[in-house]
Amino acid sequence: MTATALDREDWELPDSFEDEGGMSMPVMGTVLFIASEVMFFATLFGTYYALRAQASQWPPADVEELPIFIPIVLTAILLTSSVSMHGAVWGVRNNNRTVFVSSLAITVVLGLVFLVGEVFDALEAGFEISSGAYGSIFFTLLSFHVLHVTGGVVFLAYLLFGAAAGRFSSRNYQQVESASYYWHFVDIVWIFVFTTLYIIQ
Amino acid sequence: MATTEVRPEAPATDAGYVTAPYRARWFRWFTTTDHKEIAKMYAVTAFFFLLVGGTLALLIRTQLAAPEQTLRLPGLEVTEQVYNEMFTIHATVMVFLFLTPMLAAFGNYFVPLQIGAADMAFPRVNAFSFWLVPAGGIVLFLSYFAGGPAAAGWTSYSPLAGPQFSPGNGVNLWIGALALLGMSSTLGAINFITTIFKLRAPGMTMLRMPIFCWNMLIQSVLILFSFPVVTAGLLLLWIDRNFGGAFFDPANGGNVILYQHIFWYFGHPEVYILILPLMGAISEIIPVFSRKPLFGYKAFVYATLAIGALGTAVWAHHMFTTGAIDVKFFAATSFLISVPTGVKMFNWTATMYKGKIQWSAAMLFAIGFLSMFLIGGITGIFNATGAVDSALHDTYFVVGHFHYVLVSAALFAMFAALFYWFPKMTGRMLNEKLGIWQVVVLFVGVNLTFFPQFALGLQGMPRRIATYSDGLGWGWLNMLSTFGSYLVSVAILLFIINFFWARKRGAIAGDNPWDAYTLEWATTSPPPYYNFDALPPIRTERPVFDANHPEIAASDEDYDHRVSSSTP
Repeated sequence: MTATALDREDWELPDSFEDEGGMSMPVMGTVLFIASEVMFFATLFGTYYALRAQASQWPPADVEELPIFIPIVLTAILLTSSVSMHGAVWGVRNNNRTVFVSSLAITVVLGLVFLVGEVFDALEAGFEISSGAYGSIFFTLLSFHVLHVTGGVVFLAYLLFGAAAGRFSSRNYQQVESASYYWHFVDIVWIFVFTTLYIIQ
Repeated sequence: MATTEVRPEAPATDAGYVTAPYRARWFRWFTTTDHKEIAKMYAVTAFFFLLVGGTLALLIRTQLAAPEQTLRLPGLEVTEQVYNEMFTIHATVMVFLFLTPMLAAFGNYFVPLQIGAADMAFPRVNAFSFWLVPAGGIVLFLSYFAGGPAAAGWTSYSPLAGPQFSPGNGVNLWIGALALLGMSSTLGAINFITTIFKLRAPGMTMLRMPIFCWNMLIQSVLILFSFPVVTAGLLLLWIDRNFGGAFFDPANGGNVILYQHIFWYFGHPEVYILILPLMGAISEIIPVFSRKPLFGYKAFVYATLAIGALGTAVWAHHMFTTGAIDVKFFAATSFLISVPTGVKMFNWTATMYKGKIQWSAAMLFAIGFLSMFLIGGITGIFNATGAVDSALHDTYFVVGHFHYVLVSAALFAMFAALFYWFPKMTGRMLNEKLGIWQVVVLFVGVNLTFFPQFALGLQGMPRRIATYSDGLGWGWLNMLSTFGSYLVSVAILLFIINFFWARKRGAIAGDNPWDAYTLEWATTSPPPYYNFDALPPIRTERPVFDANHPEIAASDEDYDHRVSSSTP
């Protein structure tokens, strides 16, 4: 069982460990994180549709139809912010600082506007989280989306400070790319939330 | 096949060593991001919780040893409420605070080493994942000081765990602990997947990767897709408990079966999460001590993938008696999953066949794993049969079944891995003689503990009861089971003695004491801060064996032919 002395002549230490093809490590980590978030929201949406499928009346009789105008405006705002986020990635990738910083700033502002709108619109609803299964899942879906948008806005604001200080360039923008993937993800979740809670109510 | 660029003229260099930043020793443990240090902290934490959960198990077994008794110890009277708390915390500790972190320990230590990397992909996230484990443990045990811990079982079914039947903070803190531990596992999984995809050394193709890494990869994918689900489900339960939600309250439009679906959508993959890395470790140990390559490497990889895929489609076999699911479908998928599992059994036994078997303690533990896992697996087929399960559901037969897999098999595999890898982690060998004694005591112990539980289950003893009446005749089997559990604790004590003895007096291991095959044995024991000063060329799944035995090493051509153009 004793090992013989090793002939280490053809051994080497590779210069670089990181596989250069494909996505970078931070971006891969972000994508995997988003995959886990997809499962999280899938559970909440699954709960919504399971509860809806077994209900005799959905929404319950005492719930008035929700006005849809403000959610449509909010959707437009969030979709626009995805476009500006994409602009920010384009800007940093092409070393265009003006486009990068201004697009990022626009994204943060649109995100904040969306957050305020989403929270105030939810408070207008004529029912509560404790008024039955419908209210429970309605507010749960909205709150977890609000939490995720808040996280995104904080992350983007942090990047904005870094961007203003000139921390990113076409050779160093993995954080910006990761943030953009995350931002597009919360945008897509909103489209599902909007469709589920407002369009097919 | 990717080609390995070998530069024979490159001189061996020790410039690759990077020293750890200097920190005071006590401070270093809090700030380290080195995967090996983090792995050791995982292992020590997990072992601590094994002792905590084991103590609870001994109390439970002592309470059940004789009929119609109430165990009284100084400061503890096992009332029915206390009994419920004990088995709830026992299960939670063993699943989330012992076994999961112990596997994270093995993964953290050996995945980077086996793929020839310097560290994990995200070292700071790795440290964060670890520190969430003690945080979760503290939150869980805080409930003892906040009005009593959760007592609704580790499944915490609603409405039992709902606001009406579990008032107080116990279940709330239990949910908080599981959320923290789930986050720890999820971040760990992201880290493992990225490490395996991005940091393999040149030449280490996916099909040259050690089986242990394959199992960690598939385990991580399962974690990624199941833990967020239970986190969401537990948050729904938390909303029900604290904000008047009605998710699992039928009177207000909720659905109790929905909770069971969410829980088991996580809960069943969780058992594969707990066993896959151990299967991986066994697949490293059996070939080394049989002096043969693993029989059917590719078949093993495909079997692991199949277990991962099927593992997400069997969850409702925990719910056969609810009458709310399609028993035939879930019985069929549950039977199907025994096929890839059987393939693995065949891989292991065929590897041993005509091998030059070395009866080390690690190998004996590995063979113990095979036999225990076989019993656990076959009784699983009973449970998967809908008609049989409607009689066995929630009896001690089920308790015996999952303890055979998650205690008997898991402990044997864990000790096999510890005996095999301890020399690499510390530079010293564990005592083989004491190890073989431990195999014997553990083997007798687990079988005495859990085999009588099959008989008890067939006689109708329900699980989760604090005591039972004398006339039922369950006394002597329970006494046998309790005696067995004491033997198991003796076996664990033997390991603790062995551990402290070996730390001081164990024989010096050297780089590769077992003449093993994979890259972790190509560096010193324990490895330096950045793991490798040089790597052997990687042409097969056994690069260190090829370097040690050039006369019988497979050439590139042989190997490419064997791996890519023939079925294993």
